[in-house]
Amino acid sequence: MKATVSEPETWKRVIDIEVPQEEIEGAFDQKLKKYKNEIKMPGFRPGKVPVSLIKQRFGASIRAEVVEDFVQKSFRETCETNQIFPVSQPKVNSIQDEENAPLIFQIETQVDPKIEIKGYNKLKVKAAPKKIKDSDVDQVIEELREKLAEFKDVDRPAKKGDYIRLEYQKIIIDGQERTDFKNPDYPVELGGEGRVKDFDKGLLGHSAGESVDLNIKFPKDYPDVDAAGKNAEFTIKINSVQEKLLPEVNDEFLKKIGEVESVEALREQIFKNLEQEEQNKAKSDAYNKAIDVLIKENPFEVPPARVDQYLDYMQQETQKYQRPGMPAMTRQEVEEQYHDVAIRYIKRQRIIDYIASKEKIKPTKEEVDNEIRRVAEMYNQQFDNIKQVFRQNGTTLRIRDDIKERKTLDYLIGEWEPPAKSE
Amino acid sequence: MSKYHQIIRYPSITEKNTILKENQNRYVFEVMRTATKPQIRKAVENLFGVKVVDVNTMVVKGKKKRMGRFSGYRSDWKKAIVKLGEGQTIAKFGEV
Repeated sequence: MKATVSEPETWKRVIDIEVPQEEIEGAFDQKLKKYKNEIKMPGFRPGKVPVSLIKQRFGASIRAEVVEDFVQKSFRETCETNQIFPVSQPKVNSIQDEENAPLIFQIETQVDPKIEIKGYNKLKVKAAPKKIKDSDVDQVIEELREKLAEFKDVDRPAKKGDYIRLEYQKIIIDGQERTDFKNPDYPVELGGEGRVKDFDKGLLGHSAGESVDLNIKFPKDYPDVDAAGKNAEFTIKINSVQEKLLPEVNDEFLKKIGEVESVEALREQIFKNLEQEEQNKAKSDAYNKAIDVLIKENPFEVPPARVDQYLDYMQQETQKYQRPGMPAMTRQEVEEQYHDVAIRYIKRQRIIDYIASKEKIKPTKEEVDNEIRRVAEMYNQQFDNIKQVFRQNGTTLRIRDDIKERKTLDYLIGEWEPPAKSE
Repeated sequence: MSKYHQIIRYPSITEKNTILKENQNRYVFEVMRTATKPQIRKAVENLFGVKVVDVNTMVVKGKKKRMGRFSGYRSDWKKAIVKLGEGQTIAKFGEV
């Protein structure tokens, strides 16, 4: 068998293979002998069918089988001897299969191009978390108060910032009565965000139980296209006027939030959370920056088969999270939207793998165990059980990869150092 | 279908017939019940373009077969053993 490998693209290998005639014929005869004992033919006892007859009847299909075998076998062997690791289905281009002649064919496959990433240990990227200020903590507490706000009915004319429960009694838009407006089953904030200004203005000064007639013009950018920019008459009944009461930050407030002893403790907890958040964000920003720099400084190509695989995966994902009633994304849409994402993701993965193997970054046993223990605690499961299950369904491998990725990225931004080599 | 095809119905390929073919250059056919030896000779010569030296025929009696409690016979058929001239073969035997 003779094989020549050529490299038209960095991600493409074309292999020309020539199998000598004798080799083919030897395999053919062997196959023939094998089938001789299996073939049943009327008029002959099993295994007594003459070879010439088998050749005449089944020769073509046996030969096709032999050729198929050779294509597979020689492709595998060539890949092994030439260190080719295909990432796509090999494609057989041309087959010259004639009797009494050597078998010649060409196989095309895609590989990950050899890469060399330089300058990754001279990156000047660092995580730069912002300092958490008191005002940030205040803001979180303010949000908590909003969340725990109570509504109280008041017996006075409505003013700005009040909440109103209302009922539509009659709606006429552009001279036509509309009945498809639903009564809001939540209190409406007067002058709140996204409200029609004239509408709210008309309601000011009215108290619970009153009926109000409104003449307004919808703004041009109103979400309901049928109503936008049109005049409308409303007859509205106000069921109640409510005031929003923000709770004081006191012991009762703390009790509602739960598990906090004092205002100081709450502030500290919030501070810590914010800090952690900021830390993570700063880190992932730094990760992205580091990868961006490496991608820019070390150009390499990505085999299209890899991109296709990623896009296939994305398409499945989008289908999984598709909202009911929405049309599925077509393959083309997925391609347009995610093509660059795919390339970046693949490059990122390759760069990480390269650096990890170059710097011998590997997850330690304790790190993997810790991660598994964390998951086990999250689901209230026995550590040993989970470990067993993960090992069986391959999650352990994924965890290992995740840790490796994290460590490598940390290494890139200077937050982690490989242990000194023991030599 | 020519009349020759009506006379020569099928080639008969069995272990025994293969041995006959290889050792004695005799080819075996299933032929029309009413065909005579001269007719068979002519048919084979014309269909395959060979020289026939000898024709032997026989009527093979149908086997007795039972379907449950009914019994009957398979049809009788005529077998012709045709010897070809020295060095002559029917290449496409089996594909008539």
